[in-house]
Formats: sequence, structure tokens, C-alpha cells
Amino acid sequence: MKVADIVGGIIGILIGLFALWEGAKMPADVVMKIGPSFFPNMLGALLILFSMVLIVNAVRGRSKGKVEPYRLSDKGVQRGLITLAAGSVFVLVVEPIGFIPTAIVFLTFMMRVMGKRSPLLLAVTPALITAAVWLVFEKVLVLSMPAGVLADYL
Amino acid sequence: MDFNWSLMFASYATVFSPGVLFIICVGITAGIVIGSLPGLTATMGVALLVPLTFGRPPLESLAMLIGIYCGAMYGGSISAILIRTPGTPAAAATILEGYPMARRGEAGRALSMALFASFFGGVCGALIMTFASPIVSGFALEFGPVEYFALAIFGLSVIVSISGRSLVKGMMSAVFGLLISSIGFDPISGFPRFTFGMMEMMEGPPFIPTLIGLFAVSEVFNEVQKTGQLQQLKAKVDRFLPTWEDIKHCFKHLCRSSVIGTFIGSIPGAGGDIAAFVSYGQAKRTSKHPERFGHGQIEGLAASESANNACSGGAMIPLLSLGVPGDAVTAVLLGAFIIQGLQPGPMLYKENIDIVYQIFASMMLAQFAMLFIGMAGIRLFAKVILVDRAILTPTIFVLSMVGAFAMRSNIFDVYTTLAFGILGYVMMRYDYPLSPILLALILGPMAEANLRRAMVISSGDPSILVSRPIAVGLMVLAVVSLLMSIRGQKQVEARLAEMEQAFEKEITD
Amino acid sequence: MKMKSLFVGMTALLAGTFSAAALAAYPEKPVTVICPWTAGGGTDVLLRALSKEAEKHLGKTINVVNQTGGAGAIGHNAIRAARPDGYTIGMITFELNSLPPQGLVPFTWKDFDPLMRINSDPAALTVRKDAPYSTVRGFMDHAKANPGEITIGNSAPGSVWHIAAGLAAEKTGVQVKHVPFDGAQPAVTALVGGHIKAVAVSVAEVRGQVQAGNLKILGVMSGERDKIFPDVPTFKEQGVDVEFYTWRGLAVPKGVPAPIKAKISDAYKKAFDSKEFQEFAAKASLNLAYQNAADFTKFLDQNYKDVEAVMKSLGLAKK
Repeated sequence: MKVADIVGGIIGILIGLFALWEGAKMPADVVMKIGPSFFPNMLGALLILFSMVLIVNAVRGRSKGKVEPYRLSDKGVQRGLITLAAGSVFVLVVEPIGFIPTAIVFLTFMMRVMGKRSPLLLAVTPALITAAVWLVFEKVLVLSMPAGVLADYL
Repeated sequence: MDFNWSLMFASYATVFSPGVLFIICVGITAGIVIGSLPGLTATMGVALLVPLTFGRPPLESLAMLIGIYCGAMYGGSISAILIRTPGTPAAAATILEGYPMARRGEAGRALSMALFASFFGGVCGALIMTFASPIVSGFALEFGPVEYFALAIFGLSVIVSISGRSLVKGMMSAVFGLLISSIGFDPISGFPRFTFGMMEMMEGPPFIPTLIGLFAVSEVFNEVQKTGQLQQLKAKVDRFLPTWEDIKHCFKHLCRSSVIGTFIGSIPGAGGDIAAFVSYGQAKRTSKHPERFGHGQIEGLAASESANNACSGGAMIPLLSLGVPGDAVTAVLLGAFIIQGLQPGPMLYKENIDIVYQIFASMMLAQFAMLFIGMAGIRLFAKVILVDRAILTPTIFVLSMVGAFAMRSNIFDVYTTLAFGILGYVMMRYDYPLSPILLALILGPMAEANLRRAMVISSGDPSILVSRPIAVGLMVLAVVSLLMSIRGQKQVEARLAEMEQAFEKEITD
Repeated sequence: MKMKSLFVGMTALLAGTFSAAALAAYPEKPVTVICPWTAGGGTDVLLRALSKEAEKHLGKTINVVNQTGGAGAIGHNAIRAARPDGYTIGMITFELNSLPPQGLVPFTWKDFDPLMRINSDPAALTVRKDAPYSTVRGFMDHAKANPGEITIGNSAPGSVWHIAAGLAAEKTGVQVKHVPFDGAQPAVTALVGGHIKAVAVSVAEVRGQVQAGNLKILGVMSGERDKIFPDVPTFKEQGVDVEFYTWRGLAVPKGVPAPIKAKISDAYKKAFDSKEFQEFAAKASLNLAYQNAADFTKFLDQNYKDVEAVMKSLGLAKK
């Protein structure tokens, strides 16, 4: 956790510096003394302060807890990365392609990744789940879902 | 205004007709479903169904909307407990204890306590609303910018209590959350901050998608890594109500949180989310075993759930007696009243006192309807956790994205959800608590906007902050609770470290 | 070559008959109406009430979708960028003319195809019942005599009511402090609680508190008196030449075929005239102000120029 805490602290300091830098560009408020930059500046400074405390604690060996190191050979880590990729693709294509096809493909793929092998299950469950979600949101609650390629049929 | 007992009994008789009871039950059921779906809040549920009430008799329409309101407040806890997805923002505090309980195999116990606490809180809220409206509503109007600022500061003092095992990391999370909450239009000058020129960022990252990303999506990433290592969870659902011991154990917290919830609800602009966190912090501070919080402590769950349901009764108080909505849901209800030709406020008491009492009665009966429908549904809800994780986890992801999108049909919200999901996962992995971010997102804008508003009113003179008794009282409370929780937090950190050492020793031995 | 031109001709013919058929058959599926403001708010409730009636005349379901955010920018942008096939309509509001001068959006009303104006609500200057003044003049004199004391609440920085209050103060040459709130409702609540001195929001938003005897309206910023409060004089009658309104109307993205536009306009006009909608509007104290597409377009053009000029002089526009 020591290294992680130091890295976390540095990221915190960078975010804090960014807030201060952006805050400096905001217009001052002459009437009320505290303008749009008051809060961001204060928060940026506080974040830098806490980040430094974290780093100092870490350097002095007072970090708490442990982190399991990431190993690419680990099955779980691989699954995590695959999920991240699949999730990103889902998010990017759900609007152009549409909710129904995207969700069916995503669910089938993810169930396969998580160890389901039965073809019948992989063929039926995702379609059923997608249909149920779509019916509840689109038909019962009348909230529109991205239609995508099916726009002319729904 | 004197309390009119005979009118109250007459109103109960009117509401206790099959037609109205049926419509309340329909409302409750719809509310539970809407509340338990991620992204669909009580506000949205009521807003979606208002058009259905056009041209219907007032009592029927309002009874249904009240049913949805109460049902959704409870429904939010179901997904919070079972899949770590806050169905409504008010259920976010319920996750803290409810989800660990479910993971421990106590989903049934958690669900039944959530239901009972919701019922208990709801009844208390309805009682206070029926008997103390005039007193409470006077209090609500006292809240101006200075008081709201003080309330926000008091709320933020809870952050220490939800910081997990490292106070520094908790504070970092909180400050980071406050920074996120400052994204978008400056509340006073309208200057767009940190928007990177994006239209979608002009009001900051959307709240509900952020919430779903941080809690639900991050857990999906966590979950997929563990497949195979975890045995399937078992949900023991052999009861509909919590055991007598559990109720006795939580009774103090139930009572206190219900009162806190009703009062916070009655303050315009402060809703169930704030009430739940404040009560949760209160429960933890006064507990003998604060170190057990965050690992599935039932009184924490009871506190947050009773507070957010009591809040609905509280929020109705200023709406009915002043014509001023107490939270976002009652703001929508105000519109529904007006469409019915009823103008909430003192005039309603003068001209339509019968409908006021009928609303009191509907509110009370809605709680009982919720209890029975909830009891009937508990077995069904708990089934969710029995679903194979390989099917459930991807479905949670899809549902989260759909919920994020449904709110305002904007694909940007889906991107936000994923981004915060990744952020939440990384933060969890390195032990940065997530709830402080959430609390900061709720209270940050309230603190900033009202501080600056107060400064506009006083022309920049800071002494306005100490010029009003309620505000000073709240700030003193904030300092006291901060000191108490920091002291408590030190204890918690020490005990947790002890427990970890003992655990490691056990492993090495 | 011959084959090719034949082919082109055939496709053109096919496309022609196809689109003609599509025009005649409109609407074949549910129509979506975009509301740039939250579900349950004033604009949303109005649009839902109107669309519910319009469904009967259009013959298909009309779904209201709330695309909110960015002070209305997101919803307006979504209407502008929607497919121009008539299946997406939108409600445009005053903010369409106040966002561009602030440099916040890359479009103006000219990027839309306006169909009709539905309502326009004038601003009203409202104070507490126990205030020592009961006319606009009295209020302004009080403000002059006590500089720095008068605070006027509005619904958001740069919002319609902020501009209205700024304009009134500018015209009378007084110094007031503008306090932006998170919507009109919280501003009215703060006034009832005595935390600010006045609000400049619409009559509909203060009606309840005025009828309850907590607040009083000093004047309305319109050409004629309000229907619900006919005793309240206009600003002009009190010698302050200020008129300021918010407005709502319907529009489609540019490029929707004329026959489809006509069908939509027709359905919504019938809905507007229906007894149900008129009753609804009376209950919600909305000031209905119908204008057809041509008049609405002229109105938008003039309104845009006015708003931009006012915002510039108040320092609210982008420098």
C-alpha cells in the first residue's frame, strides 16, 4: 500500500493544482469578495494538503492495509480487463446500434466470460433479459431507449 | 388551528373505501418497482404518473401519487441491499450496511429490517405531519441562506463517520467530491467552471449516473474478478418481519432517526438523502461498536431507512401548510395539486380542510399498504440474490446503463456512468471510501450556493453567518459532532488495526 | 450510360413514391416531443397536458422525453439535431434566446423551424405583504433611499427573471442586489420567510402565496393587466416602461417536409383550442398566447434582439 499511497497522493496534488490553475482564470467578484473561484481554490488547497499528509504517512511507513498486486497472468485480472473493454464497447455503440442488439451481444459475451458454456442458456437468457428491460422502460414507463438500427421497426 | 378529531375519523372512513385503497396499493406497487430500478427516482416516478391524474378526482389522484412517493422511498432500499445499486439517492446510505449484510447471507434479515424501518419511519412521519404541521412549518420558513449553509456544514461533518479505516483518505474523497460538485455553472455568477467547453458539463456531472457508476458499476468490475472464488450466496428468507430482538436492538435508532428524518424533510430543499446520512452518522457516533459499521451493522440500516421514509411525511408538511414543497418530489406534487384546482398553503386549510385530512389519512394508510405489499414481495425480491452471478453481474451492468440513460435520454450520462464506475473501482481497490464523495455531491452545492447567497445579501459582510440562532446552533452541532466523530474514528481505526493483526496472526499460525 | 440513367431514374421514382407514401401515411409510429426542462416542472406539465390532447388529433401516441441540463441547452440542442422526419418535435423556451448572448451555445433560434407559440408569462414584482410600499414607484423610491438594502430573488443567474429584475432596476436607475436561487420556487420561499425583499418571477409562481395573504404583487411587466389579479397595475401604468416575458412554443428541426409540419401544427392547434387544455391552463394560471408559425418567427426575431441588447447592457452577455 505504501507505493499506492504515494501515487494516490501525487494524483491528489495534481488534481489540486489543476483546480487552483483553473480557479486563477475565473473572473473575480468585486461586490461579494468571494467569487466563482473561492470554492475551487479552497478545495484545491485542501486536497493538496491531505495528499501531502497521505504521502508523509506512507513514507514514514504508516500506510494501512494491503493491496493485492496486479498480475496479468491472473484469471481474475484478465476477466476484469475484458469486462472493461466490453463495457467500453457497449457504451460507445449503444447509441448508434441501439439498445436491443447491443445488450444481447454484451450479455451473451459476458456470460461466456464468466464461465457459462451451455449454448441454450447463452442463446435464450440474454434475449429474455433484454426484452424484459426494454419492455419495462420503453413500454411501461415510456422512457425512450436508443433505437439505433431498429429505429424504423420499433 | 385546532385539531379536528371528527373530521379526521370521517377522512379515514372516506379513504378506507375499496376504490381509494386499491389506488393506493397500485401507487405503492408502482413506486416499489420504480424505486428499486436504478436511475428511476421517486421524483421521476411521481412526475411520470402526474399526467395520468389529469381529469381524475383529486383524492384518487393524490392518493396514488402519495403511494408512489412512499413506495419508491422504500423500493430504493431493495436494490441497495441486494445489488449495491441505490435505486434512489436516498437509499445510498442503506448500501453501507445493507449490502455487506446481504453478502454475509443475511439478505432476508436486511430486507425485512429495511421494510420495517421504512414502515416505522413512514408512520412517524405521517403522525408528526398529522398532529404537528403548524408548529413544524413555522420552523421551516426560518431557513434562509445562512441556515442552509449551516445545515450543509452539519451534514458534511458526517463525512468523518463514513471514512472507513483511514481518515486522511476519507477527507481526500470528500474534497475530491466537493471539487466535482463545483463543476458547471457557478450558482451565483453563472460562470461555467471546469466544463472543458462541453454543454453536458454545464450543470456538472449528472448526479444519478455518477451515483450508479460509483456504486453499482464499480462493484460489477469487482465481481467479475472474483468469479469462481466466491461460492453462490444464499439468502435465508424465512421471515417477513425482523425478529423481536432486532427490533428491540434498533428501537432507539428507529425512533431517533424517524424524528430526524421528519424534521430534515420539512426543511424545503433538504430531502431523504441528507436525512439518511445524518441519521446514519448519528447511529454510528452513538454506537458502542462503531468499528462494526460498514460491515453489515443492522442498526445503521434501520437508521438510514427509517429516516428517508420519515422524510416523506416531513416534506408534505410545508407543502400542505405553506404551499412550499419540502423536497424534489413534493415540488412535483405541488404541480399535481394545482392541476386539481387545489392551491396548497393556508388557503387549502381554509377552503379544503377535508382534503388536507384525507391526505393525512392516505399518507398513513399508504404506510400500511407498503408494509403488506412489501411483506408479500420480500421472498420475490430476495430471489434476485439467488440468480447465478454469471448472469446477474452482466445484467446489473446493462441495467445501470439503461437507468442512467433513461433519466434524460442523453448518451453522455452513459459515458459518465462508466467513467465513475472505473473511478469507483480504482478508489475501492486502494481503500478510498466512496460515500464521502456522494455526501459531498449532495451537500457541496448547498454549502457553496448558500454561503455565497448569504454574502450577496450581506454585501460581503461575513458576520451574517453568526447573526442567526438556528444557524449558530447548527454550526455548534457540526463542531461537536466533528470532534466526537474524530475521537470515535481514532478508536475505530485502532480497533480495526487490532482486528486485522489478530486475523493475520491467525493465518500465519 | 443508358442503363445508368435508367437506374437513376428508377431510384428517383421509387424514392419519390416512397417519400410521398411516407408523407401521406404520417404518422406511422409514436411521435417524441422533447422537453428541455425536468419532468414535473411547469414546462413539462404544460407540454404533457397539451400533448395528451394532441394525441387524439394526430392518431398516434406522443411521448414526452425530458432532455434536461445545461440550463436548457441540452434539450434545445437535441431538438435542433433530431432527425427531421417529423417524429421528433420539441418545446422551445425563452432560454433559447438568452443562452446564445452568453456565449454558452453554438446555435440560435434561426437553427429551428418554429411551429407556434403557446404561452407567454410576464414577470411580476412581488414583495411581502407587510412591506412599507405598495407601488412599483414606492418600491423604487425605497430602494433609492436605502441603497444596498433591497435584494431581489430570481430563479438562476442569467435567467429570464434575473434579466427582468435587472431591466426594471436599470430603467428606474436604482441599485439592487440580485440573489439567484435554484429555481423560482426556492426564491419565493425565501421571500415568504423574509430572507430577501422581493422576487421578480411570473404571476403563476407567486399566485398561491399572494392568495394566502403572505405576498403582494406591486406590478406586472406586461402590456395588459393579469387575468387572475386584475387589480394589479402594469409597470407601464405606474410610469415605468418595462415589458418582459418568458415564452414557450413548439418547434421542429430544420428540414421537416411541409405537409408533415402542417399535420403536427394542426393537431397541436386543435389540442390548444380544446376545452380540456383551456381548463388546464386556467387552473395552472398560464397566460396562453397563441401565435402561428409566421407570427412566432417574427416574434422570435424581435425577442432575440431585445434580449441580447438587455443582457449586454446588464453585463450578463459574454464580453
